[in-house]
Parts: sequence; structure tokens; C-alpha cells
Amino acid sequence: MTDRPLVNVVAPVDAPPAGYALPGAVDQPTGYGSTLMELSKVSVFYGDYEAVRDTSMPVRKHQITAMIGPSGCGKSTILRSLNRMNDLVSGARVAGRVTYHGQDLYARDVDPIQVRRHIGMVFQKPNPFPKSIFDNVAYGLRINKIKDNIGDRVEEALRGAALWDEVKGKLKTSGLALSGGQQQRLCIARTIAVRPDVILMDEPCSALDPIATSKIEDLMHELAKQYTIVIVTHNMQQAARVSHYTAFFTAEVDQAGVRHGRLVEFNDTGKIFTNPADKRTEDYITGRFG
Amino acid sequence: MTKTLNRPPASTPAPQTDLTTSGGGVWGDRVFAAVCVAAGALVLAILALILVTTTQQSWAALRDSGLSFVTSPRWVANDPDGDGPLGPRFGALALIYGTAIVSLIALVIAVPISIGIALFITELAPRRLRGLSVTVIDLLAAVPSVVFGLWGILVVAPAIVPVYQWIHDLVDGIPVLDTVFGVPVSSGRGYMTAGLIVAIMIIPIITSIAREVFATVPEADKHAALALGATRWEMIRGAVFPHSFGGLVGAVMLGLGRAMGETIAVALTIGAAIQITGNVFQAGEALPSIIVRQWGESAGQHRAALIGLGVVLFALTILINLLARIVVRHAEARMKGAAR
Repeated sequence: MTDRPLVNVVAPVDAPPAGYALPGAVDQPTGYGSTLMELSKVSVFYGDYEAVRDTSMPVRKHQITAMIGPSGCGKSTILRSLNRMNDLVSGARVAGRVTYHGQDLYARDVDPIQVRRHIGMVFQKPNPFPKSIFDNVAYGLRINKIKDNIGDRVEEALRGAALWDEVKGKLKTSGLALSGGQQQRLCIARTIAVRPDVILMDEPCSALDPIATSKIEDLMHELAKQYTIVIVTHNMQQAARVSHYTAFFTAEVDQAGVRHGRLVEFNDTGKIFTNPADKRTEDYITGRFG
Repeated sequence: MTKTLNRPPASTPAPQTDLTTSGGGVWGDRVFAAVCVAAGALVLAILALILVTTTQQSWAALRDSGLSFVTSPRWVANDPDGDGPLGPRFGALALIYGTAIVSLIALVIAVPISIGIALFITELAPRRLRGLSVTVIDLLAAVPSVVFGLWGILVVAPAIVPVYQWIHDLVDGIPVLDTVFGVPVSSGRGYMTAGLIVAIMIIPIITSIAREVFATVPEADKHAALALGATRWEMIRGAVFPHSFGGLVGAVMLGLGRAMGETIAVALTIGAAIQITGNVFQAGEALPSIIVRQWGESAGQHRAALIGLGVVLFALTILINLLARIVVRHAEARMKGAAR
């Protein structure tokens, strides 16, 4: 195991990966592809249990980074370490460094609340608040003490989440009255209303039907123009369809018999799916896994 | 192997295809349904019976007083003139007022404290402290109300007069407040003291229900708020409260029901003065407390009137509960998006 690198990280790039373009990604903003967040030797512990070990990978600006892998491989755990949502789990601890704009997110003086205002999150199950559609989107603005043009900001966010046309006549109705796909887009609108820098998505389509899924995927291409996206998905086709970069995680058992998650390979999505460097990646994407 | 389970025994001629009845199972269901319906009906029957018999027993007084039974503030148990020029003797308004004020004071004090404790237990407290807090609160619920009443009359009432005096001096000269927090009664027994004692008594009920209600808020909703950069308090306001509104109203209603019906502790601490005054530091009297106070020495019309007070109290609690139900249903419908 030790004679080959556990992680194949491509050299950082400042240009789009060659021969790989997304339909929605035509007019790329500046700074495209530069490293916005960086994980170096990140391990996440729950109490004494080291759930994910030694993860190093970049998150590039205005790109979609997908994390794939089997259940228990730690991809969601790593995702949650990117905006300190793991803090909410008692006993959780992060070792190593997660940087954002070069700043260590786990430094002593960093406020997790501020981190989450810059790095938002969309969850697996659509979870709108039991409030009106308008209030759902406005919630983030209100807690950020934004008082001017709330109506405009809500409309902008709903347009950004491709939901405006479906809900503009009924902003006062409950967010829970929407369909599952609409609810998830409402959650995306709620997240982008506060104009975060990065959006983390934890299997955002796994509770949705194929049509709703494809709407969210289209939306992600749009969102990548303004935001940096990291998505965890069980669905390899989805990773192949939407992402620029893919990180493949797997679950391993160490010498002591402890099962833990590990990053196997990080690369351009095109390379991961056509020419993976690691045998384990190849086995997984071709369906020969376990 | 499992196939043999489905195969009928060799002696059975043909598989049964009769779908009309299956014997024992149906009977079980019917008996079960009957028992449940009976249990439900029993509650209704008891309620109806209580209402009918109490109304019947109090009819003599209710008929004599007519509407003035609830609109007149005069309650004269021993009128030497009989039904002389003083007019109807039994008016419950001062007592309804006393019950309302004591309950209101109790709620104003108990609701924020209970919700605070419940939030502390569900959202903030470390695991070890949770169990301890719950136990302490539950112990509070186990204290008999007469003990609270005795404590109120022996300890709280005398000790609290200076506090009342201080508050009165503080608001002296401010238009409305100096009426509400007027000159305290010297014994310390009055609306405020009764309200305080009742507040302590209803805190455990409201707390434990609020705790259950908060525990049902989905983790996903809380995370959604926190992921937007909400502080803990903003998360509670945005995710926990909207989810809990109906349940909290229910909790408050149960507390209110207890407060309105609380008898002995109120009887001991309210001061037994039949009057309507805006001054919460003054002595008053409430519906249930006057019943226990005067029951022993009552007869005839007086006794009928006391029973009539019970009917009024009963009607009030039912009315308030119905109102609360309407509020909750309306709020929940709006939350779920059923109402346009």
C-alpha cells in the first residue's frame, strides 16, 4: 500500500482543464480555476474514532467539485468540515488544515457563524422552514441584518434558483406546499440569497425524481458562474455530468481492523471517468466495487 | 424450504378462496373498536353529566340572578335584608376577574421561564445537566398544592411586601403603571402573590410539554438555519419556534387550565377580598377559592350560587380551550400551506 501514492493530485491549474467544457460554463468569470479552498492532511475524528484520514485536495473557484464514493467513505464528513457543520456533532474534531482564501477555518479566532455565512450548504432532504416562501428566502437576509430591498433580494435569489416563475404569484404560501424539487430549489434560493462564496451540496438530488434532478443539475451549471460549488453525490453519472473536478473516496480497513474513509484520487472529472490513475477508482466507476 | 410454509396440509382438499370472513380476527377488531369507542364516549358522558348536574344544582341561584350572575360584581353571602333593595345578591364578576388576573399573572411569569428552561434542556444544556434539570422540574410538579399554598402564606407573602412597596415607589407617578402596581396590601396576600405561587406550580407542566414539542423539531431544520450562519438564538427563532407554535399553545393552555382551576394555593394566598381593582398588589378572590372558603357555611341559595360559580369556571375553561384549538388549527394550516 505504501509504495504508491494514496492520492493523485493534479498540479494546481489557473486555466480550465483542457478538452473539458460544460454546456453552461461558457462565459467564465475571472479567477476561474484558482484555488479557493484547500484541504491539507485533513482528518476528522468523532471522539477517538478517526472517521476520515489524511485528505488533501483543492477546491477551485467557480468550479464544481464532486465528491463520490461508497457509503461510509467519509465524503459527507469532509464536506461538512468545509463550513464547520461538524462542530454541531458533539465530540467531532478536525485535524489538519482547511483554508479558505488562505485563512485557516479552524484557527482559534475564526467564528464558525461567519464561516457559514461565506460557505453555505444545501442538504440531502429539502428542508424549507415552515414559513412562507418569501420568509424562507428572507430568513438568511434578516439574520445577516440586511434590511434594504429585501423584496428585490428575495426575487433575485428565487430567479437565481430558477424558481421565480413558478412561485412569483404565491410568495405568501408556505414553502412546505411546494413539490420536492421546488422545495430543494427554494433551499438553494435561501442559500444564495445571502450571496455566499461557496455552496456545499450534500446529495442534493437523492430525494428527487429524475426531472427535478435534471433541473437542479442545470441550475448548478448556472450557479457555478457566480459561486464555487462542492457536491457530494452517490450518483456517479451526476458527478460526470455536472462537475469539473472529482474526488473519489473509499472506505478502508486499517491494520488494526478500523474502518475509515480515505481520499483515493482527485482529478479532472474527465480523467477520473475515462482514465483513472488508481485501480480502486476504476473498479468503482465501472461498477466492480465490492 | 419456505415454500412448504405456503403449501396447505395434504389433507386439505383445495386452497380456500373464500374472502368473505375469517372468523376470529374480525371479532378481535370489533371488540377492540367497541372498547375504544366506549372509552371515548365515557369521557364525553362524564363531562356532560357534570355539566348537567351542576347546572341543575345551581339552577335556583342562576334563575334568580339571571344574567347579573356573571355581570354583577356584588357577592353578598349573608345579606341581612334577604332579597331586599340591594338587588341580586350573587354576582360572579369580581371572582371571574380575580381568576383572570391571577391566571394572567401566572402565565406572564411562567410561560417565558418554562420556554427558557425547555430550550435550555433541549438545545443548550450538556447531556449530563439535561437529566438533572428534568428531574428537578419534575420534582416541582410532585409538590402538593397545599404545600405551595402554605409556603406562600407563611414565607412568600410576608417577605414580598417590601418588594411590592419598592416596585410601587419605582413606578409612582407613571400614569397606568402606578395603578397596576399600586399600594400593596400589608399582609402581602393578593393577586400578585397568588399569581406567583400558581406560576411556580404551572412551570413544570408547561416546561415538560414544551420540551417534548421542541424535541420534535427536525434536526434538518436546525441545520438549515445554522448553515446560513445563524447564531443559536437566530436558529431557535427561525427553525424551532415556527415548528413548535401549535404545541406551545397547547402547553400554555394546559398551564392555563391548571392556573384557573387551582384552588387551595390560591385560597390561601389571594387575600379573600371580593373586589375589582386594577392594583395587582391588592387582595382579591377567585372562583375556585371562594367555593372552598364558603362551602362549609353555605346553604340554600348561597350554596346553589357557589355551585353556579363552578359551572361558570367550567364553561370558561372549555371556551378558552376551544379558542386555543381554533388558533392552533389556523396556524398549522397556514404553516403547512393548506390555507391560501
